[in-house]
This record gives sequence, C-alpha cells and structure tokens, in this order.
Amino acid sequence: MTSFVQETNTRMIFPLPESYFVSGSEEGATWGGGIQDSYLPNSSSVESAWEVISGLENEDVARLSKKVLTSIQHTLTSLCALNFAHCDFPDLHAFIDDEGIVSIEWIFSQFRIGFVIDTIITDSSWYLVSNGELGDTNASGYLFENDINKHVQWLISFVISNS
Amino acid sequence: MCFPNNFIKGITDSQCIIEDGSIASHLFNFKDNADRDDGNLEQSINWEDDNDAISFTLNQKKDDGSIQFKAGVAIVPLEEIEQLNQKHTVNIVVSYERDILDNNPYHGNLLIPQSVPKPTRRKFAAWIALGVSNIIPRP
Repeated sequence: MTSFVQETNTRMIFPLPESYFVSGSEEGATWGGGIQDSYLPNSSSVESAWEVISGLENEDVARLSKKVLTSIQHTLTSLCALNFAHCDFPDLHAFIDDEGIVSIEWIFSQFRIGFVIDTIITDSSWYLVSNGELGDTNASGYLFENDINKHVQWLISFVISNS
Repeated sequence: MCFPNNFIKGITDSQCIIEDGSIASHLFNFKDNADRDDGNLEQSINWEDDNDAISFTLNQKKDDGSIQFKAGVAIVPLEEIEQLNQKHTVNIVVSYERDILDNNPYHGNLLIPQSVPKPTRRKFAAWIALGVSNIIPRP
C-alpha cells in the first residue's frame, strides 16, 4: 500500500516512498496488512466507469483503462481510509467514442481532470484544466503505463485541494 | 470578418451530457483528419448568427434524412476561445472560420495546427467544455 502525508493548510497529498516507516507503537496494537479496495464503501464513484470499460474489445485499451481505474480507486481508498479526503466524490465518467478511444473524466464546476486511452496506446494522455477562479491552472502530458500512479496521485491531490 | 458572440456544437450522443448539466470534454476533440491543406485540424460548429441558428442546428439532418444531433446542442461563448489563446503559455492558437455550406449558412470550424500534440489538443477540448454556457437538449 502507498503511504501518504497531507499538508495541513493546502490539504495537498504527498506519497511516501515504499520503505518509509512510521515510528511508534501501542501495547496490544496490531500492525500490518493491506487495504482491500473491494471491502471499502468509496468505490461507488468509480463503479459506473468500470461498467463502461467492461465491454472494451481492444485488449491494449482495456488493459490501460483498467490500470487507470485501478490506480484511481486504490488512491481514493487509501486517502479515505487515512481520513485525508472526504469520501463523497462525484462519479467518474467514462466514454468510448466511435473510434474506440476511451475518455475517463472527473468533472467539477471549476475544473476537470481526465485520462484518454487511445487505440494508438502511445498517444494516450492525461489533462487538468481549471477556470479563472482557480487561476486557469492547466497541465497535460502523455500517459505512460509505468507512470500511471504518479499522474493519478498528483491529479487527485489537486481534486482534494480544490473540492 | 464579423463573428457572433457564441458558437453552437451539436451533440450526437446523449452520454456526452452529464446529469449535472455539464458536457463531456471529448465532444470538442480535434480529431486527425487530412481534409485540409493548410496544416490545420478542424471541428465543425455552427455560428449563432441569429435567433434561428439554434433551432436550425437542432433540426439538422444527415444524408439519410435522420436527425444529426439527437442529443441536443451546446452553446459556447467565442470569448472562451479568445481566453484560451491568451491563457496558454505556449504560442498555440486555436482559430476559427466561416465555412458556409449549400445546406447550412451557419457552418464554421474551429481550427488547430496539426502539429499540436494530442495531449494538448485534449486539454484544449476540456477547456472549451469547461466554458460551455448552456446546453439545450433535444425536446
């Protein structure tokens, strides 16, 4: 499980390296174990997106889409379990266009984040846009499979800080 | 050339309209198409030149006679395109044009250089979607 710390004022989330240890113990306390996503109640915001991608025929697009949703779900689960975020996020939306390209998007009134899984897998990308009330913050880039968690955590950090 | 305050984007898929009244970003994607020789990609819009433009768009038909935009239309202030060009740190310009057709006097295009990478194009699509001022579903 990825560990996180949260900055108090901005509520920004920072992932910790896997080898980071938290000191301290209580007599009789039990440590260890991982978080099982399926047993926690916050998966509902991702549920409809899972249903949309369940029928994908392109194996590469399906694989990458599932990785993105898994990363989002796991990050939300971890943050909610650590009380770093409220657990009533709006639904994540997934769409498949007529070319088989998947768009996974989180829409808020002042900003939105998204992931696009292209049939040309190396053209897959992510984005963040906001309106003037949030300083027109914007970013985008290619989505590399090995970097999915990093992108997801950074984008969700923005969501938590601004929702 | 004079342009109106708003342009109209037709919505073919009702799933693009989110239950909270917002619109999915991919509606405004600039797709790869090699139909132009000026180095630009285009996406079709209609200009809201007068009070009839919206109803015209809602009633537009495909070649087979069926309604083209079954879900409705989205209205976007042209100012959003102007602000997008000012906001972006790299000198990439989303431009626009009139492209009157025999059966559509309101037709036009949003244009973006073909050289713009896909991540940036999709970011621009999301920005435009964020600026939608009104969604008119088909009655």
